[in-house]
Amino acid sequence: MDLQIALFLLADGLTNGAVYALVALSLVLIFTTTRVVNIAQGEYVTFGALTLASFVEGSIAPVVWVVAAGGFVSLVLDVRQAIINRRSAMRPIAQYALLGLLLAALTLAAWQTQSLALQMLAALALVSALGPIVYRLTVEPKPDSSIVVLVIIGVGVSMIMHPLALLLWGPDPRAVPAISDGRLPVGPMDIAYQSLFIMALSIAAAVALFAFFRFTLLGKALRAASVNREGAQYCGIPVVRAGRLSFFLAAALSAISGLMLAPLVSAHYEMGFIVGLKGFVGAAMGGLVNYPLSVIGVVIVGVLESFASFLSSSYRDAVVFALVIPIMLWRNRYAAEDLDEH
Amino acid sequence: MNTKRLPERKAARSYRESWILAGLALIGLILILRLPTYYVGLLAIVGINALVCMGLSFVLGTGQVSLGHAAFVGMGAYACAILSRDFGVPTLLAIPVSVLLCMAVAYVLGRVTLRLKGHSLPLATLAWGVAIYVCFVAAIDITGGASGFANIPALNLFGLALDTRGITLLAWLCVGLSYIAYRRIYRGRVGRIAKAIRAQSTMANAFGADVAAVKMKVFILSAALAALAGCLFAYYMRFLSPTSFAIGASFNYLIMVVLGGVAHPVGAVLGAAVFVAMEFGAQYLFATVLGVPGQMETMLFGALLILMLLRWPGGLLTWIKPREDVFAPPAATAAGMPQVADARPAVKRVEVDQVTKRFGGLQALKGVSVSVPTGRITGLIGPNGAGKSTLFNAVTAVVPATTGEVRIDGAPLPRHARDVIRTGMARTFQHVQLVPELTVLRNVMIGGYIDGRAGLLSSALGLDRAEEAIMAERARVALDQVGLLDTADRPIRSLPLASQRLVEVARALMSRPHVMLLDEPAAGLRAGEKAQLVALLKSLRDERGMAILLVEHDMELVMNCVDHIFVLNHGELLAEGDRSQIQTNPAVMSAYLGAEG
Repeated sequence: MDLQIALFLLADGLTNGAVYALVALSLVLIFTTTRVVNIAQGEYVTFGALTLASFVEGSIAPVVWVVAAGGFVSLVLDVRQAIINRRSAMRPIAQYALLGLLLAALTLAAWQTQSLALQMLAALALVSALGPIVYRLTVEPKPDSSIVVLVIIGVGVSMIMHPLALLLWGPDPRAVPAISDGRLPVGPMDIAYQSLFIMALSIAAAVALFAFFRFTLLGKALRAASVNREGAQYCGIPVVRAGRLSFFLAAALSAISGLMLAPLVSAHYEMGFIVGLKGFVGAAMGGLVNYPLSVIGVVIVGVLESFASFLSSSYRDAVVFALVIPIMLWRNRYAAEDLDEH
Repeated sequence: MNTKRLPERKAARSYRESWILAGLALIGLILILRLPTYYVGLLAIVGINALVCMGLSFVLGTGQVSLGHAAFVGMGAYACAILSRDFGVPTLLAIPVSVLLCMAVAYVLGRVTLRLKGHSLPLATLAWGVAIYVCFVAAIDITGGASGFANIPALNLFGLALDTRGITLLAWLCVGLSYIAYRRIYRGRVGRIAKAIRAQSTMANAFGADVAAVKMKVFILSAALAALAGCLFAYYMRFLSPTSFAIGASFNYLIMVVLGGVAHPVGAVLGAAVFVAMEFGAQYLFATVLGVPGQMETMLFGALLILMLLRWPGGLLTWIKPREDVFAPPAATAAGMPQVADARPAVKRVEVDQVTKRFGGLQALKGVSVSVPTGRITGLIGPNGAGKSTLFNAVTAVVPATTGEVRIDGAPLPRHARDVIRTGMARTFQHVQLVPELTVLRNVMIGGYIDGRAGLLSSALGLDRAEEAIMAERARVALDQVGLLDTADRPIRSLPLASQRLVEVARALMSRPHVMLLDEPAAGLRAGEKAQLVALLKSLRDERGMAILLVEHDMELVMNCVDHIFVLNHGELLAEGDRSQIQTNPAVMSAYLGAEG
């Protein structure tokens, strides 16, 4: 391996890392606000990529029907809740109707247009809407579940979404155009603009999330909602809305990851799950609660993956996932004061 | 009303249930011997899955979860297959070697994750499950890769090669033995503490359990069972393909466990059986009748998993309730009442010296010094938020003091909360921490955890009977002292909250302490019960010479029994002295009544 190959692998690894970073950030976001260890997060990557692929092909993305059906069930549940709590049922109906119309308009526009930007926006909106729907249907009915139960619920969601992608889009991979096909020459090699986009997006998202949760009152309130639900509720923090919001944002981040990744690997129904798991390995570095450490974690994962695939492509993922052991060992040293509890 | 008839009814039921079990075993035997081979094969799969699930189910029972158990099954299977085909190792040696290998791997995984927060084990097992699956596919020279590992020799027991029926019989024999073992473990010493760990690890810790170590043993045992199941799978299939051990298989085990329920080992068997039947039915329905592509049944199972967790977290055991074990009353001899031997060195005095505690910007304790000598009931009173509970937690090492020291007879307090009880100091909790699934008696028996020796193995082999009988008797004595002996075999949930507080006192007594720390034990008690509690505290002081530290808001009760009072206010010691001194202290009156200077 000479220097040029090493540099190429490094750039490749950083791109991988940036893709995983968006997923890792969404995992941390969800965990710190709702205590859900969301195994299913990678599926939003798949859905984002395939939805865009459908629009690019000029067809209506079949995920629309899933969003519509899920949204309808959520609406029924919300109306029922409103009636039980003796509140006006009109409010949820109006909200859902507004959001539904907005999504429908975006979908139709994306179907008719040739503009990649509009298609990406519509795909992003549709897939992001899945986040709060999943939260409404699987987490909200029983908000005080233990972490372990929430993990298993995530497994259930993944078991539904994975075959759903196969059912909606079929097994064939689809091509998705990149935002730009240009390449930036850097010294002896050149880097695709697409890679640079992904890296910039990941860094921006990481900085924004870190600053939001560290410095703003709303961010602190959201974190409080996961530590002590009841207490937060008494302080006037709308815990339920916080949960839906964080699932929405997380779905959006992962969907962006899918939109960005699709041109590099071509979109297919199995692409997301393993990306999600790699995001997990990276986020484990920060104990699922630390944004900067998670980014460092996914960079390590990405670079290791890239070098491992050069040395032995068939063992690549084994090397990446075995990384979880040294990461956990390292966490143990940090969690020394935490030893006796839980 | 009919409390008298309750034990009789239970005895009759248990008698009936052992007949049911025997009948089921007989039916199973006939089925295995008579059914067409194809269906016998399904039974074998159910048995193998049930083995995995029994181990995994107990892991879930301790509040942990493994998302990569199929990897253990796979490692067991491949290890066994490779040893017996490529190295000619006899079956009876290959199986234990494979099981030990998996246990070692589980040890490493547990070692690096089980002391971390609750989500670390699922993440590590998930990642590891993927890694090992990738290795099964990639190591073509060893495992045959994706095209599979063929020509595994038949399972050979003492020269007798087992066919499908033979393997099925063997698998169900293993299921039967594991079932008996797990039944004993569930009701034994580790089983009780495991249930406590799931919901109240602070309490389990305070009664001397090394939470991480218990979780570790439970996890390793589950890996061993998974490996055994893998070995049987290899000998049954005679051919291995890595897809059997992919991450989806791990998820399926999880569904079986959740479907069956974790409260009792029978849940694992039920879950495995129902799952295999459903999978069989769903595949037929989707592929043959509806003609939709494969994998669709996965969606059905995913939905089922979520639905079960949200609506029926108890699994099938919600409807199929196995019998509660009732301790047979031990032989009523004079010696049947074991005398309380003081195993721990007697404590003379607990001293809190200039303890401060800071939570971020909040200073909950500002240099508090309190002395708790034996033979005295010491009251600790103060308005809400005065720092009483924080002081309690500092004295029991649950929340270590920021500065200052707690000394027991001059020696520093142990660093870990779990070692505090071994110094002879036991406590109750302000928010009752009892295990809802257990009966009153078994909750009290948790207090004897440190005195017991029975581990997973001795419980499984039934070697803990004598110890359990002594513990049960001691628990009865403790219950009798708080006046709740007649509720011993009732579920803890059926008791009113006030009685539950007394059960907490009994549990603390069960550990035979020299120092008792009681956090608002009288809240909600009726007048008669309060008088009984006061009498109990006084007798503990006078007859056993105990040191009792009592946090209580009920002034009447405090003034009735305490010898010395410390008053906390805003994290500082406001006053101390005997009853009359406190009652006339102007600073105390102003703190309590808000009177002006």
